[in-house]
Amino acid sequence: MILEELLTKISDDQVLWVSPEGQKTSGDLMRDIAACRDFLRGIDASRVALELADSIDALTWMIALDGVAEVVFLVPDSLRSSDDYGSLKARFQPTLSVDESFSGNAPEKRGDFSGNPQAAVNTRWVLATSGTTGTPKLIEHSTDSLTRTCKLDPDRGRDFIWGLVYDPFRFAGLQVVLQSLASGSRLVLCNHIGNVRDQAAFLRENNTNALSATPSYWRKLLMSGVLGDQQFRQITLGGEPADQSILNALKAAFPNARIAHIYASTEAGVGFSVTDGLVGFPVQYLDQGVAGNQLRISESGTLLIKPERYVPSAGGTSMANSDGFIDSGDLVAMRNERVLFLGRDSGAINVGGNKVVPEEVEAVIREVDGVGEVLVKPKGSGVMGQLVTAEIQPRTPDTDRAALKKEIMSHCRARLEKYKVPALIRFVTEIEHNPTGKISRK
Amino acid sequence: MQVREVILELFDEALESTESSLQCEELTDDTVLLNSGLDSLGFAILVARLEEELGFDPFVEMEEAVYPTTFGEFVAIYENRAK
Repeated sequence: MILEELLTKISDDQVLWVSPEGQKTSGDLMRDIAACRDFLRGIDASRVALELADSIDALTWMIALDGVAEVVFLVPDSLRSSDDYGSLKARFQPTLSVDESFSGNAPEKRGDFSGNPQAAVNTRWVLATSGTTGTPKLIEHSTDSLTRTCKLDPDRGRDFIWGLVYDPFRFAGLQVVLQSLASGSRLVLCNHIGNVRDQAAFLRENNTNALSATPSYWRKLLMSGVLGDQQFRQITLGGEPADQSILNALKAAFPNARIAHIYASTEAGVGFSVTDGLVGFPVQYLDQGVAGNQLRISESGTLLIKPERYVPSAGGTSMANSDGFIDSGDLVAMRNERVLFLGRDSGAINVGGNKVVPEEVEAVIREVDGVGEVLVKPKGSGVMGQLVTAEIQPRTPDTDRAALKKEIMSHCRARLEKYKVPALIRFVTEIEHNPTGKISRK
Repeated sequence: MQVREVILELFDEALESTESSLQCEELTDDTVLLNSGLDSLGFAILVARLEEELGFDPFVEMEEAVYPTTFGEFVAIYENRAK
């Protein structure tokens, strides 16, 4: 399948994409795709870096390139403007960069569009991970793997208007784009709107009734006070564990909405949604499985998953044990007939959907003179899910703690992204090490 | 120190630690939190620091979750809990 085929099921006058900059109907999109294809004729478009800032233009080109280009690097905004992009691009070696200079000699719009879409090649899509340590990783996907979970249901889909608050070229955002396209739903793009109140106002203006976002983002939306009586039909939470408070608050604010929170494991390549409005998932899933996957809890308390269909990770090595179970790395506990998520066994911290590796923060803090030992841990937060905290053992007991704290904070701010900087710093007399000499994280 | 004063002091600290500044003349009860200059990370830091200073986090304790829109609502949640 190529993405363009999704459009053949949608009527020409249906508005598909709305952003503050403009809108596009299915018919507009078909014509623009044809124009892009014309433009590509005679150009070596085997490896394309798609660098357009305008999301609607970028998505138009994405669909046009499917079946034409061999590999397309979908470059999100934040990556294009980062220091990492130069080296990533050099490594990717594009034969063509589609950027702003294309709008100057924009392809002429063709009045006619005919013929069935046909794929010359199976295009591969390159997405950048948001990167927990150092440079982002590039992960390849196929059109089939990206659309595997999309439901094709234009009859039902027409009634949904989805909001997009994330970059369409990040994995989470692209899933929303493709799902709405597959079901012929309108998509309201707010990803270029700078703050949550204006985003909420734009969502409201455009009668958005379906939205997928992190629990932290939903808390912000509720705090904005703008969405009040918005008629949501579908509310999806993902990217970090949802707590009972946010599920209750959403149910109270939007009583007619179907509320789903998603559990996803990149290790197992599996995701499933829970729609009963309760935190975690029912213990019955451990006996009965869910969505074709079998679940089990390991001796160390992590969730093991035996996927219905295992797709090996980029490295190609199977992480499954002899029974075919894969360790998700998610620590879980059973409480009141539910399986609840406690965090990552690696100690990784999830700040509002952004992953923080404690060792990275610890290494930065150790660079500060006067720090003896340091332990970075998550702390639960009703606002952001988790926050980063640091316990510091000063090198000498007579250290001026206030001055050292100031020093650590300013060093972290200079070296780390905002969400990685410790929210709290506590001084301790000693940080414990386990028998193997490692810092004990539990 | 009154709860409100503690909040005001730590609010400034949270602004500083997220390298942001107050986006309005001064904090009043009508100030919309998300317009105050403090982003949601800063807001989370404020709640965590208040827990250190006051010994409780009302947002974790609440049976029915309330997400305050204005500064006045935020202060009221702490004042009611501190009573």
